[in-house]
Amino acid sequence: MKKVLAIASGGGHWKQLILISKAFEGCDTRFVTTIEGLPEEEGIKKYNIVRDSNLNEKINLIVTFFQVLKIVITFRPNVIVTTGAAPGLLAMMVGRLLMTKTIWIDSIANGEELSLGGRISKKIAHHVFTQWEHLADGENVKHEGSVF
Amino acid sequence: MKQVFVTTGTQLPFDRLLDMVDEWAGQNPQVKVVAQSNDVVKYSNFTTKSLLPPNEYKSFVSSSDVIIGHAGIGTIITAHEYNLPLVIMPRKYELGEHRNDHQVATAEKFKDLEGIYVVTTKDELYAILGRSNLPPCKRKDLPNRERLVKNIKHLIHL
Repeated sequence: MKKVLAIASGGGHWKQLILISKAFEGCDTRFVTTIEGLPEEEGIKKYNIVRDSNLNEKINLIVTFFQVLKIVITFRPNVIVTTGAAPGLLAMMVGRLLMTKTIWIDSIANGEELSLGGRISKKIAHHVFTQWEHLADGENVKHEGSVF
Repeated sequence: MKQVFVTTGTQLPFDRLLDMVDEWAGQNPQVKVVAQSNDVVKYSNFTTKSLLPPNEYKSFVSSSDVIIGHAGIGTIITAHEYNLPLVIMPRKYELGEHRNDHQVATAEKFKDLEGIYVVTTKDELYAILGRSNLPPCKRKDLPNRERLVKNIKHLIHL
């Protein structure tokens, strides 16, 4: 059975991750988010809560990075999937370090250009998806549907 | 209209919108206003809660007649889950309300969806809230979501 680590910060990113969670059916899935109570609300039993961070908060980013690193080392997923934002990007970095398949799904909130996390993920993740057709570049950034 | 739920997300304050809602709430004392926001400002006509636990969030939303929010995706998804009309005001970068202008873009993309009412000024907001009939967001066929799910599933098992 494939092991999937599905990670997103609380709020819209988490909601989008849940909307696509059917993709993890038949997998041993561990969820990671930043707000207590969110996984329980979805009836999810296997999860971790990590500190929220954004790209302007260097200390928080470092804390989140090590939390994610520990989770990945312990759980040993085959695939890491994220809908963003900063904690998801850190998971892409950890996945890269530990030779794990990584999938970045850019938030549907980014309709004008790829998010910063998405642009960085182009260089480090195995697969990058945008939810807007016009943002696909035919190479590194693919469009294969959206949550709406 | 008996209850309005206001949400401005978990990360940044949005007092421009909350000030407008406060004034409106003062003029409409028959409507109960509940706000989820991390604004530290005290408002005269409603109480704000910084980060609602998910079960409280759910109970406020489900007992409300309309949601007013920033143009966040979480808010848009919530309005669809509960089939409620959603009034959104995008945060503006030039006013220091977000790190960039992506909410303006989001509002532009979603403005034609049924049940979503995009406003940028106080007058527009009050005009929408004054309407006697606000059709709600409706769940639609979601072939795009099925396609995304199928593709991610395929990649996982590749």
